[in-house]
Amino acid sequence: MSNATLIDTTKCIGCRSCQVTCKQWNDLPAENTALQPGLGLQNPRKLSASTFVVIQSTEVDDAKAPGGLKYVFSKRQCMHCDEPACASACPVTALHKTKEGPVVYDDAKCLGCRYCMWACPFGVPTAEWNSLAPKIRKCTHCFDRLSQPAPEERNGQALSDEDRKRFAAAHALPACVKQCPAGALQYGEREALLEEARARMAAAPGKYVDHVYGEHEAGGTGMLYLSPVPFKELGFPEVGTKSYPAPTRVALGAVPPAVVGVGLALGGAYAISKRKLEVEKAEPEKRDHHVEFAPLQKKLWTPANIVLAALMAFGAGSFLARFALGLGGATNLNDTYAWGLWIVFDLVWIAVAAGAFATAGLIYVFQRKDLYSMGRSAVLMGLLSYSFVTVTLLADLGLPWHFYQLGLQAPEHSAMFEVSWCVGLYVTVLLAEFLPVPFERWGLSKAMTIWKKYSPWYVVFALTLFVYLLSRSVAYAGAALLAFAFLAYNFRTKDGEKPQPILLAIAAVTLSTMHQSSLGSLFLLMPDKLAAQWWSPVMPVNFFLSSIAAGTALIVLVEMWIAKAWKRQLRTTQLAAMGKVAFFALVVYEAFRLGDLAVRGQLASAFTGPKAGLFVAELLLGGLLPLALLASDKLRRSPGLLALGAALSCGGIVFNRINVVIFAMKLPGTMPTYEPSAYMPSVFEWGVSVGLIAATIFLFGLGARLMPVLPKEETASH
Amino acid sequence: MTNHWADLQHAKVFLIEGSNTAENHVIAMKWIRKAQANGAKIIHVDPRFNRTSSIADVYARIRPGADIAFLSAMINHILEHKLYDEAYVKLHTNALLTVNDAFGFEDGVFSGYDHEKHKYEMASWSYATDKKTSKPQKAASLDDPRTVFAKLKKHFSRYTLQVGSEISGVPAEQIKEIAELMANNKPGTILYALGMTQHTVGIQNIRCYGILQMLLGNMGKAGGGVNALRGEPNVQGACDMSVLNGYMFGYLNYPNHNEPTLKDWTKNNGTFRAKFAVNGMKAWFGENATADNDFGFAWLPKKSAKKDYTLFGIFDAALAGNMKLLWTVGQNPMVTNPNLSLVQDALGKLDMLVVQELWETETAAFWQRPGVDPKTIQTEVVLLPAAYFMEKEGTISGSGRLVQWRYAGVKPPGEARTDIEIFDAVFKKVREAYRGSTDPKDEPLLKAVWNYPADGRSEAVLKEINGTNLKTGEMIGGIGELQPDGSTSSGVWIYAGCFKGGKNLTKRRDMKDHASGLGTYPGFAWTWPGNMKILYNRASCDANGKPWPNTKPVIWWDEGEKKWKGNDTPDVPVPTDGPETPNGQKAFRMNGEGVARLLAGPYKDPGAKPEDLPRDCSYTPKDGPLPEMYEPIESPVVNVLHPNVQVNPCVKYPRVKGKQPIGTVKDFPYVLMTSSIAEHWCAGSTTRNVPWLNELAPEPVVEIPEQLAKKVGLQTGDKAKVSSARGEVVVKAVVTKRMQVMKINGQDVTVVWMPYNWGFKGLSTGPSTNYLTIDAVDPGAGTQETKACLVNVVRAERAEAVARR
Repeated sequence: MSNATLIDTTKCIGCRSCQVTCKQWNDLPAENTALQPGLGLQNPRKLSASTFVVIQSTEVDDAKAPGGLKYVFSKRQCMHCDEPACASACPVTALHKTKEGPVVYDDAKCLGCRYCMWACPFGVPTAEWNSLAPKIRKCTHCFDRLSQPAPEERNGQALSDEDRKRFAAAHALPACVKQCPAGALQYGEREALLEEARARMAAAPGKYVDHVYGEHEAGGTGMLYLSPVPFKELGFPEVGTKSYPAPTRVALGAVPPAVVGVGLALGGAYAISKRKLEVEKAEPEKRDHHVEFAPLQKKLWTPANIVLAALMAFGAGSFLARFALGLGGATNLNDTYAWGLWIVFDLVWIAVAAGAFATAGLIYVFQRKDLYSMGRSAVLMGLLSYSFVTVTLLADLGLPWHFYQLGLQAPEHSAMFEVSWCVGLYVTVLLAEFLPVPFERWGLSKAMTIWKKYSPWYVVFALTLFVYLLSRSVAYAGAALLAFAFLAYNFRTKDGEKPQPILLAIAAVTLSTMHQSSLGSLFLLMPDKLAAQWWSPVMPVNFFLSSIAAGTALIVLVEMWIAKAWKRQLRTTQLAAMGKVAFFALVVYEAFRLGDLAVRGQLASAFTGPKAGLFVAELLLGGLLPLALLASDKLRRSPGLLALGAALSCGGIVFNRINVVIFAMKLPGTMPTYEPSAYMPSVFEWGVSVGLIAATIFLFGLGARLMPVLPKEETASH
Repeated sequence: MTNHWADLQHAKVFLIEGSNTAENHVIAMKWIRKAQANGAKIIHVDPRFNRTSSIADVYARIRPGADIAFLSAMINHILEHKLYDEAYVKLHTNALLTVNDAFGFEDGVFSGYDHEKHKYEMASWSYATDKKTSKPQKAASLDDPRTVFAKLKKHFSRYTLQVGSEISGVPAEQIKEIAELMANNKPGTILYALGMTQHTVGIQNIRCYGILQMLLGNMGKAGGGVNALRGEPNVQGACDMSVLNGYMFGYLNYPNHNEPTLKDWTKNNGTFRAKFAVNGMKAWFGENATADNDFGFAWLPKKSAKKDYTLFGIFDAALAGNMKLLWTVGQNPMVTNPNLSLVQDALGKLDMLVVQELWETETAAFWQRPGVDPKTIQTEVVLLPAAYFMEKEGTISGSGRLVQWRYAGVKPPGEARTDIEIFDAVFKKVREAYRGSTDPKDEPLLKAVWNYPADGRSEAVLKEINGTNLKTGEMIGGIGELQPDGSTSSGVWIYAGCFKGGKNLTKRRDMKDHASGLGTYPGFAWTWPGNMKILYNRASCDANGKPWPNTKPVIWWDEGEKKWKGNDTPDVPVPTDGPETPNGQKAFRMNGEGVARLLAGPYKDPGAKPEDLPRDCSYTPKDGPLPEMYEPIESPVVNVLHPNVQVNPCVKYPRVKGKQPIGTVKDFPYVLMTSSIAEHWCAGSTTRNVPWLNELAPEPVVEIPEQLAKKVGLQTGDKAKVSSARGEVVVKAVVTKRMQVMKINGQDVTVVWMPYNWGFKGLSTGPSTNYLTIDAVDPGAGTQETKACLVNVVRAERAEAVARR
């Protein structure tokens, strides 16, 4: 049985006692208000962390109405969706739909990620921006009242059983419903209320518009409205009738089988590649791909590094400011822009850091030993990038110290949960991939032995755990365990063989496939906000494919930058080879994207509808132009064209991510006025992001100096 | 209320005029909604389209102060088209009684008007009485020209729909529609509040309601009545006790200077009420009150006919230097009184001001108000910290006369004390100071009974209010047990029985309704008088004591048991006196006639013993036996009915020269109406200290129609300067469709509205609207005309620019 509240706006008298009683029950402070021009009676202007309910007043001319006016009061608060987008978003089930109906919040679990605020199609969840531990706040349909015990006595007299029952019944109502003196609010079983609503409409023809708002909106909500005027005139959003979490459910449902499938496919690909190589090797060796690595012999404190260090210091200061002043004090984030620069930065960085897994996959799984020289730098770049994404998230989360809740909670279909675990595990895989470098540098042979022996089994554990967390199914977890144990056993390093981190590479590719795509899944909850050119049920695939294009292009750029910065030889052959991979990745991505639009019949409108300019710019500058520049091996061997092509390819995808978060995203703002607040990142937001970019570059340089990350420069000509 | 809150569910039509029920009596909506769900129609008549209008089936926009024209046109329509309930009118009203030949109405005044004194000699309004019995003569037919009914018809005949419309602004068609809705949907109820009473014609406004409901036969029935929605908390209880300046306990007239003895008083009030006065004096003076000393009548304060005891008289007297000390309890006149400039000057003339309040209110802080040098004010101000109602026990009486015991929820903070503790301490201290005095004027203090135990003080007072049989020592069980000989006592006779059987019935909390489903909940607390929920319920029956057809039975005469019985306490003089007896036909037994008074002239009912004293006397309004349309003191239009008698002829205004200017339409072209709002109560002394309420309604505003906004260049949020002959305030404007320019007699009349709940103290501060309003008052009730005065509205910036030049 799911309970709901029927709100009959024709009965509401605008007394606003629900607004006050809500504050009383939830112990919320008053807001400091002034007359709200244009909003009539309404005050405050919108929902906030200290206001869960607002009564809106609307004056609608109507010659037939008494006095020529319809003066409509509508109580606005959380809609308590049957399938809430916020709960689907929540990675720790801090927000969840109870079987009784209310969508409730448990701040002890909340990470403060604020994904719920973006996800909600009604603009309901708000954050306590003024708090150092900012919780999410919204109406909970007074779920906590249901469990209130009746008092033992009243006025010194013990209560009779009947009185106790009456007390309990009175308490088992949301405070607003209990308070309403006008009978405008009725709480009860949702189906019964729908019948009641229909009965009222039938009993008074012409009194109501023929629409129960909430019956089908967003797949059905726990707040059902009757109105004498079209809901559009009351400013109710047109959210469609589809369940918001459905596309995410489909996308995330595919993750556990995909992990096993991708893993096995990669294993198979490796086996075939290896076999092929062995066949090739049987013939006289044409080429030796053996590369030696060595620490870079350059002084550290170059002017560039001093600048980077200064930026890092600025970043560190900003990071401290974030915690000293709180999110509200240090950032310009607000209830409209609950996510800002840092999320753009995370999305962009993870996309371009895809080079690490792409390179690892190419080298080890597909045995592209020609790219081996780029392997270590790609992995170090990836490790640093992902680590700092994690640091950014630490700053971005409102309640980061609740991170352990990710291990305790089992959300049903939260892309954020998937991304969190996947990225977390991937960072460990990256670390494991990189560890041989310091082991080699400092001669830690025992550590190396342990690494050789256990790293494949760590992969088996990590992937099995991941599959279990996502599926909560022992069967799936068992399948994953069997599959990866099979691979680990079969690909174990035989005595005398040079160890190959094949399981780590498989894990890197598998996990990256999952989280790169799930970053796209994050936006599946926002079909109403994200422009049609970007939103698609197959956004996860778009994100995955584009990340390979971006990542491989960035590897090209990083290699060229390394060569230029440290005056090293440009390894044109390898770069051209990587450029070729980047080219085909981009081809596949753009083709898939356009194909998706075409299949869904949106291709024409993508070029003509709103945001067409952005879309065309993204497609031309970030797609067709780099494709043209990288189209042939000859072009790719020209450093200038290669650099430009890679930069455009990479930049196009960066632009794509920025579009998804900022330019193509229409954030409506908070209920009920839906006046989006403006957003410009604060100096501290810039500080953290710029500081971490500087740190990545600086630490990469430092790593290259300390450890054998880059190939040994060959003195003789190639 | 003649009926009660839960009874509203039985109404088939609601006339809400002079009340923004949805906003200011929010909880009433529970029952109104219930009635509406059963098909009841809601008519809202108000100058301002407000939250009550939003739920109405008919909304009529009326000019402030023109209610009598509108209601009279309705009454006339009902009379002309015989829409009245003839059987009811003949049986339960004075319609058939004949009127003194000298009665008349000419040139805007009734017979007996003294133009010098602004007063009526009322004798000509009385009945033509039978020489032998001294009872009124009864005509056989309503068509008899001597009857009250004929006078009524004649008087109201001037109020055609057209005339009513031209004066009030309500379209003639709509007046007709409303009259017919009322006539065709019975029972119907009328709800009103200060919108109807705060006029110089306040009493006559309500008289219209009485006449209307009598004609329609709506009094005494479930779902009928004239229902005053009283202010919260405990306005009803305060009036029941003796807080109204004209009344002692239980609405007994205070003695006048020309009534030195109980007998003199009884001559003007009747033996029926004298009995209750005796019981009250027994409660006040105990054993000191004996038959020999008139039960201490001499110790009661006597009013001087020359003095004005209203709230306004108090400030007039203070201003004239005739008042030394003022003690205000739970009242904040520096916000709520009209013409605040006069109030602040008057307070400054006092030697001492005692304010008993929860906070330092505007009244307590009048000497440090903005723009004033405290050194220039010599008044000594004492602030006594009082407890909030949640912090003290005692009864609170609601509009439906439900007397409900409340327990203290929490202890008062700090040094705050309950009102009863403060009064107890002060009384004892004062009496101590007079101990041993032989001066007769000090006797009341020394003779009064005052021995309430510190523990359970409030309940001891309630016991005294209920009364005791002094012979048996038992608690009085009801009004019927009260004796005129001093053998019983009852502090407030109408409350007799609330402690029946020694049990505090106001503590009852039985949530079960009466088996009839009438919504009386007889076991929940206790209602005065005698737990009676519907007053005048005898009128719900016909001559034979049977409920009128198509009504919900309230009471009836049980022929078998030979007594009045029913679903409510029968409102009859003697429950066993059947319809065949005179007592069985006194549906309005609180009138001397025993019937309702369509025309309200002076009447003293004979039949008492000793025979030189009247049994009972009927109340007669000072300003006329019938309502007549008089314009507000400040009106934008001429009284088209009688231009030479523009305003209520009994109003004396200005009372204080130089302090009470009257603005004209030339300087102040718009009509200002004021009211309280849902979010702030009255002076806002309490509510403006509640941040949650300040959030909802953060500041005072002036609501203006779009036409005016355009004319003076105002937009919502702009600051507007509103000025009257008495003062000016600057507040933000709210431009709204809910206000409209009206056509009155072909002339445009613009009405603006302001809430009056703000002042310079508390968490939310703002200008007090009452600097603008006029302190002219109703001659009978002493209510101020805060619902209609003249103002000008300009944009504040523009006004300042003009001032600089």
